[in-house]
Amino acid sequence: MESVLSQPGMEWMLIMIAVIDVLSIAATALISIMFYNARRRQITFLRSLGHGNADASVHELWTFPPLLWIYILLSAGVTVATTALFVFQPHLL
Amino acid sequence: MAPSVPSVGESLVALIHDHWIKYVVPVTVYVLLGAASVVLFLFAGWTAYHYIGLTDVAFLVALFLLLMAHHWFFAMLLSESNECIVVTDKRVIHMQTRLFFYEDINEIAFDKMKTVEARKKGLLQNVLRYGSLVFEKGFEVRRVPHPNRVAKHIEQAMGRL
Repeated sequence: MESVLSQPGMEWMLIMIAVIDVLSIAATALISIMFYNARRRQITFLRSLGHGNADASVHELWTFPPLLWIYILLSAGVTVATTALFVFQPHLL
Repeated sequence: MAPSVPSVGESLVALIHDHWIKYVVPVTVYVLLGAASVVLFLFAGWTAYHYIGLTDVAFLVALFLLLMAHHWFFAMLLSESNECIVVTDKRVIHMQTRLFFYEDINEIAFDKMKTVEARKKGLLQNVLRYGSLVFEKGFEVRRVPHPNRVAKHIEQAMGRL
């Protein structure tokens, strides 16, 4: 493994990558919170309606649907993978 | 923002989500942008020991492109998953959300509506069985799966059938 700081300018690269990663994590958190709030309002409204088909239909809407978990896990995965790619610089090519 | 408070005794008749066709273009764009960023990452790796400055630029551009595409795609996907048509025994509500940009809720009460029209135009809509619901005063809800069936739900809820 080559030292990531062995070449000139690499400190700035590391800082820029860290900043981009932090912004990415912040974006993930913000989008997740906004979606959760919007979904919660929707479910609250649907539950306020009378029964009939309401119970079965409302179960189709989850506050934390699988899509949200996929998004959070993929965001974490991409962040870790790209950072590792820069830090460890594997000799692939 | 939420729809107006349900009236006494109002009950849910149907909850309908948009047709999957709305995901085709965004998925295609996401795949293309992802492929472009992968190419840039490979380019950065290839130039790592030859042109160090170019490597750094390529890596940063690839990272930025990948993360922008990723967050845009999932923000759009999550927004679209919130879009739905709610049919109660008193009104039709169309909810549409774009995170960060807007949250639209259109309601049409049955006492203000006399007709609903289901339309399917073109080969794609007829083959994939989706279309539009057109209400009075030109209000239109697009990408509705099986619009004739939904129009029938609405007319039943209105007590017309």
